[in-house]
Amino acid sequence: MQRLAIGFGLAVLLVGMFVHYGAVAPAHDPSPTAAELRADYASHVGDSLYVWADVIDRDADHVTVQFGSPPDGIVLSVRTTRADIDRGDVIQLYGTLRPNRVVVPDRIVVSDRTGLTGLYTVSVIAAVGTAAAFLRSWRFDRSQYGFVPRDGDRSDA
Amino acid sequence: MPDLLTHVLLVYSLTTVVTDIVDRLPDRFVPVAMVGAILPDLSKFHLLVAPAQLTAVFGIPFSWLPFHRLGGTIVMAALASLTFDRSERRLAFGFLLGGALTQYPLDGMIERANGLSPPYFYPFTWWQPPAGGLYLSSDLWPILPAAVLASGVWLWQRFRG
Repeated sequence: MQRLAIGFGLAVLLVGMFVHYGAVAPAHDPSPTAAELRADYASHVGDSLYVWADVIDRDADHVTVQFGSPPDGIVLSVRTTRADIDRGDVIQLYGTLRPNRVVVPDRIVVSDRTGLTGLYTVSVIAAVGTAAAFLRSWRFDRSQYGFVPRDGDRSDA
Repeated sequence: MPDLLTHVLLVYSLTTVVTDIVDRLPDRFVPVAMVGAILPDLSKFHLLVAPAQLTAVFGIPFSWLPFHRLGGTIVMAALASLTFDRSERRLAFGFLLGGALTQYPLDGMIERANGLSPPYFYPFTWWQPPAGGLYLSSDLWPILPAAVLASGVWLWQRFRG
C-alpha cells in the first residue's frame, strides 16, 4: 500500500513536469515554435530560428522543409546550395527568418535518412538485448509484486 | 542521443568493471543499469503520441521531454525501482539512475547547429551546456568503439582467472 502511494505520488510529479515543461519551455527558447510561425509569421521576421526539420523538396538554390507536424506545422524555404541535402533528410537548421517564409541559414547539420533508419534499428536491437539480459538475472515474483534475483541472493541478506 | 546500442554497451562496460571492483555490488545489477540507460529515451513517445495531440484533447500544454531531463530521469528511476522487491530497491534505484545519467555526457557531445545542448538540468536550471560536436545523433560509428570496449570487458571478466 505504501509502495502504491509512493508510486502514485511520483507519477503525479512526472505528469506535472510534462505539463510544466510544455507550458514554460517556449519562454526559455528564443526560437519561435511552428504554431507561432503559422499563426503570425510576419511578426517573427528577423528572429533567429533553431529547429529540426524534414526536407520535403530541394532545388538548385534552396531546400523546402517541413517544420513541425500538422496541423501546426509550417513549410519553409531555406536558401542553400549545399549538395549533400536530399529529400527525406532531417536537418538541424540555425538561421534567420526572412519575409515570405524564407530562412537564411547560419548553419545546417544534416542527418541522412539511412543513418536515421539505422539508428532506430540498432536501438530496437539494444532494447531487446537489454530486456533479455535483465530477465536472465531477474524474475517477477507474484507474491512480492516485484522483481527478485533469479539466483536467490538478496541484497539485504 | 547517440544510438541506444552504443549507450547500453558503454553502461554494460562501466558497471561490469564497477561491480567487479566493489565486492558488495552484485553483478546482477549490471542489466539493471542497462535498463536505466533506456529510461531517458522514453521521450521518444512523441513519435507515437505527439504532444500537440494531447494538448488538443486535454486543453493543457504538454511535452514528453522531461523524460530526457534530470528531474524526470530521477523520478523515472525512482518509479522503476518500485518494481523491485524491497530488499533490492535501494541498489536498483542507484543502478537505474546511474545508467540513465550516463546519457547526458554522451548526448552533450552531439553536434548542434546552434552550438548548445538542450536544458538537461530541468527543473533545476534552464542553463544550456555547450554542445561537444563530436558526432551526430544519426551517426552509427560510435557503436564500433563501444562494441570493442564491451567485448574487451566481457573477455577480461571471463578469462582473468
